[in-house]
Amino acid sequence: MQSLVLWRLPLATALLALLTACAHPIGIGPIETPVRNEAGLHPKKVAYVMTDADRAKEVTTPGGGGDKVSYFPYRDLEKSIRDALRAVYSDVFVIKSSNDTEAIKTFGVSYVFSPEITTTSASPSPFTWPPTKFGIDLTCNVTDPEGKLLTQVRAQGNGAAEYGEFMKDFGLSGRRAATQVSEQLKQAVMANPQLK
Amino acid sequence: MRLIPAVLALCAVSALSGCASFVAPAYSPDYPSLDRLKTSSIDKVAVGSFQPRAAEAPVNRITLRGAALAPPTGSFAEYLENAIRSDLTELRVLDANASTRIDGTLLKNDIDISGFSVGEGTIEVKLIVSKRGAPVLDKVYAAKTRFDSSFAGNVAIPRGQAEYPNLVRALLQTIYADPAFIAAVRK
Repeated sequence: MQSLVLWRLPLATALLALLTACAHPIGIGPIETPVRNEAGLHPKKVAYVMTDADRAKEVTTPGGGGDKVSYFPYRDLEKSIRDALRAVYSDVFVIKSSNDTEAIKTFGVSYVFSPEITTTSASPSPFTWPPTKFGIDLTCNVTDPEGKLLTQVRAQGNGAAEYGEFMKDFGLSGRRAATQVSEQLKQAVMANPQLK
Repeated sequence: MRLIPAVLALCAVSALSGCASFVAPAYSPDYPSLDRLKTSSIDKVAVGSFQPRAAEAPVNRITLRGAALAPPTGSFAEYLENAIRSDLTELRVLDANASTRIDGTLLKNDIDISGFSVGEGTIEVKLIVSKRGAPVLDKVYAAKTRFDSSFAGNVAIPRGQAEYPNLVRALLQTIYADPAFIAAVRK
């Protein structure tokens, strides 16, 4: 009887380790993105840089209860970036490098946006792991077709979600941040006189 | 004292898996595929109502270890239809009155997380492209994805949930790269 009890403890420990050791995956794609108004667009074409390696970058940041969450910031935020640029310029393309002169020439691109994304997440809850707060900092170096740095634009998004909201979408705070960062990027590009 | 977090963790797991239902995240396109299509002189295209619409149709029901995975609205057939509509809007060729039309029937649609280390997504659609009412393409397209899964439901279920848009993206990537499809929708 005592040996049976002795077995339970390591089994329970192993089970708990399996339940808690991994980072919990979430999606942080935007809920909505800026609306494209065909009448008010800049006639220029632009590109942004994103590679398959960028899209495959998985990031792990804190969740609640001592757990962590994992997600793919570039893959999930590509729509935020692209739709923000589509809301400003007549056409938008993705290229693999700011030095990809062949693609830049083929697409007739005037500006190339190279995004850098950093994220933060947190939750004060000791019992639930989805983040209640999420922050996204997006910085884009903007170059001309020859690769000369023209300017830098920056956008920040912050999202929050409470227990009652995130039970069907564990990445809700991230999605809200992604929605805000998309609108912020559009505003930052429109406000920059060097990107007219 | 160590028992309390253990019990709480187990309660949380059962709450997150047993009877909960989850919503598939929004579709996000494979943009390089769309940019390639932009250079292919695509004609204006209308999109028909993808079938089956009934919620009880097997292809419109996905379960992740007992928890239902639901589309954001309507059915999974509608999710695929909306994904194609969204892509054609991005390409600026969506036109309800166009003489070229795409119709589809979802044949397979599943996210399988029954394995303890690997999950699998499977999707198959019968696509018909017609011009002025006459079919010019009648083809079945399929895609499969594999992703890391886990024994733990609280890891496996969100991974399965997050995989659905990737599965649809993989299917549409296959369709958009097919020369027969491009020829069917070209001007």
